[in-house]
Amino acid sequence: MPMKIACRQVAKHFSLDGRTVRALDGVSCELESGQLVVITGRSGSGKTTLLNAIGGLDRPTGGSVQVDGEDLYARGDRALSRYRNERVGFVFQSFHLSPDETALENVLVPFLFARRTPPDARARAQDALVGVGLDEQLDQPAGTLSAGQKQRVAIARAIVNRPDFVLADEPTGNLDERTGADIVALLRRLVEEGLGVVIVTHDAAISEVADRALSIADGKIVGASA
Amino acid sequence: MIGPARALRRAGHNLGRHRARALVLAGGVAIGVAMLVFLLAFVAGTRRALLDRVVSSLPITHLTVVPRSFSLSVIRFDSPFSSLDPGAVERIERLPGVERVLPMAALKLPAQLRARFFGQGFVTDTGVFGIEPALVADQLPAEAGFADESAAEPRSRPPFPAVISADLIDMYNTGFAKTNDLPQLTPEILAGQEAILYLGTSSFRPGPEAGVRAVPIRLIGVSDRVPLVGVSLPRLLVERWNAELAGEGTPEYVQLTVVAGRAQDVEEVAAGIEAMGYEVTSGREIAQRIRTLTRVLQAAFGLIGLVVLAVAGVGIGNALLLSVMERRHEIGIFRSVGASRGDIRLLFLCEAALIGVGGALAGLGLAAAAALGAARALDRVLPDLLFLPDSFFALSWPILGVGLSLGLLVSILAAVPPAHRAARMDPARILTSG
Repeated sequence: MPMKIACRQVAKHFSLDGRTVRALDGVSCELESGQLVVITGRSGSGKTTLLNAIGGLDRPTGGSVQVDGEDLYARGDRALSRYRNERVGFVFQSFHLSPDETALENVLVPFLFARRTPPDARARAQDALVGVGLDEQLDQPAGTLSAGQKQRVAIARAIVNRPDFVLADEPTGNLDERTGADIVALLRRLVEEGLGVVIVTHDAAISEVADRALSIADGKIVGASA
Repeated sequence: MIGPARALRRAGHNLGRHRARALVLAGGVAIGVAMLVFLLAFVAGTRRALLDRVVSSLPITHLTVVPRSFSLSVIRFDSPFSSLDPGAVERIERLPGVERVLPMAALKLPAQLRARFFGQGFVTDTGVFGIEPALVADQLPAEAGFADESAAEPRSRPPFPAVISADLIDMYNTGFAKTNDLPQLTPEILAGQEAILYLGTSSFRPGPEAGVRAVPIRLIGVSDRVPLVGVSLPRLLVERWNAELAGEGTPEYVQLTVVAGRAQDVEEVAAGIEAMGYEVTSGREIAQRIRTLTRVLQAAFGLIGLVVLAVAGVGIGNALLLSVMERRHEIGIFRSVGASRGDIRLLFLCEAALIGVGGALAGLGLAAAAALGAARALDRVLPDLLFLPDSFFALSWPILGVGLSLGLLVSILAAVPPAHRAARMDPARILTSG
């Protein structure tokens, strides 16, 4: 059964230099696994804040994020952490890998916080890396990999725990055009395998491969296309 | 949820990645623990050595009784109403629990000792004491002949057996002999040495030659139960000289050693003797004083070690705080892949615990090495002391346990604020800050 995430009037307000910033201002949308959804918008529009709210990483100040009908943020820190560990995987623009650890060690990190480390964790991490085309770089320190390879390691880390959604924040932002296209293709392939993928980007071209596209500005959804 | 086992493994992995920093932090703990354990072991070893010495010089069943004294400024006076004579000995012997009383007399005349050691003439003023042979019987060779009461009989033949203080030999060996480049003395060298004791004369009060009696003596051994400055001979012999040369009628003793039948009788016997107007010192009392003194020393040294450990703890806290800031992206990633705040806190505390254990174990090793080195150095500096203990250091399991526990505790406590800070970091802000 596909996982459903529904944002209901999600707001994120905070004070900055004495004024209230409305990073998200009543966003409502629905996401379903098995789809590639692209959220576009300019810098500071609130798209990353929305992604983090969906991923259980940033608690909204208003509204709710429903996961399969349950309010995600009604849970405590431990349950939210379990959600991030088991149901979603993050990919970041800056990769956020440990440069002195090997690609395999980086991909094994989510198992560290799993309720139970599966006995085949290492094999699963290797499979994930092979799946993103890094079968030759398993034992190579992440810091020595190319930018495209680093992002592949990050994707392998995001999917190693078999989540329902991959949440990618500007995954092509630090890559050249061709490598970026490869990464988008890789994410598209994950959707074909049944995962939901949400890509936050300011690159409107990525929308072309999306099943749905949401456009956000000033913390509000200003456009949606199927 | 990471769990303690996985957290410890990951913490070990992290420390391996930041080896230099981990070694510096563990080094701080090691120095603190080493100092603490070294000082505690020194105090414990010294206490053991002192207590061994007390038990040897004044066994637990023995009490030392002297006339009650009072002091005016720095001058002490014996009470005229508290003399130790044969009547007092009899009264004390009748007290319940008393097994025997061993009086000690002092020659009432000045005396001078003349001898030849290593081919050199040697003259010194000396005290002469008369002791019960039973007081030193267990410290002298059986064949020494000191226990022979017949030595006090008028028909007894000179040279008379004499015993000197072991402490006197230690003082001679570590002071006089070294500064005058003289050979070291041992009980074996001294045994059998003969000397002449001149009764009735001294450097300060030379007596008329006619009144001075020369008596040959033979040193037969050393004891730590005889007076420090002087030679000790059988009591009856000294009493006879006091009667013949000083005209003493009833003997008067300088000290009594009262032997209780059982250790549990000592306090009752002491109370009885004190009620008779005498001052009493027991081995137990001296031991208690030593214990009190060493406890104070232990507390003081322990405090020094704790201060060093606390400084190391502050260092760990600061370094971990710096580490938290440096590793904020790692913390953010861990949170994004499912680490709870508790997991992050546990990870940092585990790192601190491993630093603490590693540092403390290294500190124990350092302390053991330092104690061994110091013990060897002391052996070299004090090779000739007759009563040198096996070691001035006692590295017991409790002391090692205290060192290990405190090293661990200080490290963990120091890590609490940084761990808390790491746990409270906002992962969304960290990960979107680039």
